[in-house]
Order: sequence, then structure tokens, then C-alpha cells
Amino acid sequence: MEPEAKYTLVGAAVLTLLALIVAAAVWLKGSGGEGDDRPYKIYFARQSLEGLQIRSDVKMQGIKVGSVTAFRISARRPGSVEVVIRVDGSAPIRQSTRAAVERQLLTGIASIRLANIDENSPPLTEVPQDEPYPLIAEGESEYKLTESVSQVALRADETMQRINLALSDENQVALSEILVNLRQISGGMSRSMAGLDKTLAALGHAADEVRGMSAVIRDDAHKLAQRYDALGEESTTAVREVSAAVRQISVDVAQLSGRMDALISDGNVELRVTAQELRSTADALGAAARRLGDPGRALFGPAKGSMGPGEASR
Amino acid sequence: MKPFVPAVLVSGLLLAVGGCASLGPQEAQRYYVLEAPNVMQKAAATPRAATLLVAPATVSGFYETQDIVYSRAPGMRAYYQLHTWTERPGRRLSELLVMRLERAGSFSTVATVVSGVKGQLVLGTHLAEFYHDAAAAPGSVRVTVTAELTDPVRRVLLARRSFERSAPAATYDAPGAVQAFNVAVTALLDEIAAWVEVAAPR
Repeated sequence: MEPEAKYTLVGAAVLTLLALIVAAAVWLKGSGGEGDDRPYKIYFARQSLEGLQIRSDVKMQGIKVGSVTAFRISARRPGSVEVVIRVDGSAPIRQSTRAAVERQLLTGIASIRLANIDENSPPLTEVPQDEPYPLIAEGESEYKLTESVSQVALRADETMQRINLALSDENQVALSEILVNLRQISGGMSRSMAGLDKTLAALGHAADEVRGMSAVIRDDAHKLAQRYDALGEESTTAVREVSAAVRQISVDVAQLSGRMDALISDGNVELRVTAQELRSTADALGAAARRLGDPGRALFGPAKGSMGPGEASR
Repeated sequence: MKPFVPAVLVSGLLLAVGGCASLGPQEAQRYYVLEAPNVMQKAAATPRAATLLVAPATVSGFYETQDIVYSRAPGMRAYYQLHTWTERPGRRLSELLVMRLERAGSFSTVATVVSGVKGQLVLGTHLAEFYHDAAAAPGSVRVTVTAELTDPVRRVLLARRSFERSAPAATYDAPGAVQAFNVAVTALLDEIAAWVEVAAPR
């Protein structure tokens, strides 16, 4: 049987389609490619890059201005990580620009935040010798609360060990009650910190109150750490003095814990509502997924052997 | 060639309709509400000034589902296929517990932990067992809950106790089991409320 297809028409259609595909590819390459982007390099030595990925966002004042294009452990600066980013040409990258790693505490996804210390400083264009791109300096991460408290806890533990070694058995008995109380309060602080992480994640970075309170807590933690150090140095003094110092530490920790509790309860309404909505949604999704998880069951019903007592076999 | 087009369209339509239809018999799925019928109980003579917060119940993994669980042999569990709860038993148990404690009137306020209300006592529960023991007809249901009363201010455990209840199923099937679950849960909630009344400091 002679086919009815017209070869000319088919050929023309195929060629037209190919031309369209090539045009689309060129257009996409032009719009999504490097264009006016400018590369910069950052050496991170003090901040963890956990959660950072190729194509992670680079943000400035909350707006995405670029993305991460490469990173690797630095051979030039041991202990550092080299991160190459491409930033939109219109973004005001200046000599005073500092880079910090921002991390969604809930998801762990990281991005790089650029901030200008001085908006009047000259644009960053100079490429250092032996470097392919201009260097943006590393800044300070705003979210070191957990680390601070971990350090405090570590120092507290060390201090307690030193006290135990230095003091006699009788003195240890006299102190044990106070130390137990201190540990309990410190435990409360750790739990509060876990809640604080969630609250910060839920509220986002725009909450100025959270930032302000975070700074206060940081200061308290620092003060607390200093006091622990002092206690460690004075571990040979009389029990009475040590007890007084430990009590003062307890007060500090309790104050710190109370502040964090207040912070969490202040911002908790949004978190609670969000958590409840998430839970309901997750439940509904889970139920739907269970029903659809087994296509065989959806089509043919439950297997004969899986029927419960009194359930009719299909 | 033209008659071919309608044939394709009709076939596609039939396939689509056929794909939407289940091939199995249409036996309806049945949903049950876990209930604890109101039992008239005398309210506490002098309610405490404290606020009691009830934490959402934690649940052993296998029971964290809307499916009703049964057991045909010791150490084995399975789900009813055509009968389910309207809500997960753990969540429903927390709701019923709050209602039960409110009715008891032992505290000025009873609220859930997620309500944002500040409280002096927290009652946490863990649902460890919740199944229809169907080893022999008609079987019975078993419910085991561990309750903990804590002081969140001082962060100390005030009391802990495990509650276990069993109730015979009226019939050897899911509806019979559900009735027995209602009976067992009602008795268990009464028992927890009485325990809290004793364990909570005045």
C-alpha cells in the first residue's frame, strides 16, 4: 500500500522543529548564563560550610544576587575553604563587603550572605596576585549561639573536673548538691537552646527583636564563661568562696535560661500555629500516601491474607 | 485514514474511564471515632490553683497510624484493612485526657502544652500498646499507657506510672473491638485522672 505521507511536508516540519529547539537552547543559554555576572572568591576559615552546595544562593540584604559556583578545601590557605561565587553585576560589591554563611536551622540548607560594612567604600575590583578573582573578606556569622553555649558547657564540665580533683572528699560532698542543681539548670538551658533554634528558624532573619535578644544572650554567655574560668583558677580556695561562686553561676545560668524561655514564648505563637498546621498537613499527606503507596491494593483491594477478623475476603 | 481518529479517541476515553475505576469489589472503608463516654464523676471539692498542661501523647511506632491494630498470635501485630480510626489513637487519647481532666475539676485550668498557656505541672503520656488481641474469638483489647507528671519550673519528675487496661470485645471483628477500645480507654482515663489528683502537689 502506498503511504499517503508527503515527504516534503514531513521534512519541513522536522527541520522547523530542530530550528526551534536550537533557538530555544541559544535563548536559554543567553538568559541563564553568565551574562553580566562577576566572579568573586571567598576564603572561609572560621565558619562551617555544612549545607552549602553548588548553586546555593548568594544574598545581599535578603535578595538573591548570585550563586555559588565552586568550592574546595584550600591548598593555598590551610584550614580554609575556597568558595567561588558569581554575583550579578548590579550588586554593590565593595571593599568593605563581608561574607558570612547563613543556615536555615530547620533544614540545614546554607547560603552566603554579603553585607557592606561601609556603603561608601570603593567597589571591589582589584584582583590580588595569584588569585583569579577579587577576594571578598570573611565576616562574622550572626548565629553562633549554640556554639557559645556548647563552649560554656564544655568549660563548665572542665571546671567541675578541676574542682573535683582539687577539693577534699568532705568538700566535694558539701559542693555536690550545688553542682547537681547547677547541672539541672544547665540542662534547662540546653533544652531552651534547642527551642530557640526552632524559633529562630520559624521567625526568619527579619525579626529584629530576636537579633537584639540574641546579642544579650551572647553577652551573658560570654560573661558566664569568664566566671567559669575564674572559678577554675580559684579552685584551691575555701569551700565557702567556691560555693558562693557556683551559686552566682547558677543565678547567671538561670537568668540566661529565663531570657531564652521568654524569647521562645514571645515568638512562639507563630511557631505553634505553623507547627500545628505542618503536623495536620503531614498527617493528611501520610494517610493519602498510605492509601496510594500500594497500587496493587488500590486496584485490587487488600491481599487475602491481610484481612483482619470479621473482614470479608474479597 | 479518517475513521481511525474517532476510534483512537474512543479507545483513549475508555482507557481513561477504565483507569479511574477500581477493579476490586466496592466494599466501603469504615471509620470509627475513639470515644470515652462521659461518666458522671464528682468534681474535686477544692481545685488547685495550679494550671495543668497536657503534652501530646507519644506513641509506639506501629500504633502511630489511623489503622486499627489486631494480634492473632503473641508478639505479632497486623492492621485491619477495611476499618480505621478517624484520628490516630495517640492524638485522640490526648484530647480525651484533657476533657476528662477538665471534668474532674482538680485544677484551675487544664490546657494542652501547645496552647501557649503557662502551667505549673505537665502531664506527659506514652501510648505503648493499643491493639485487639484476636488470638481467640471474640478476643479483647489491650491498652497500655505510661504517664509522667513533671514540674516544668523546677524541671523535676514528680511521679510516673504505667496503666494497663483490657476489655472484652463483643464480637470477633473490628466494630466489636472498637466498642471494647472505648470501654478500656474510658476506664484508663478515669484511672489516670485519679492518679493525677493524688500525685499532683497541692
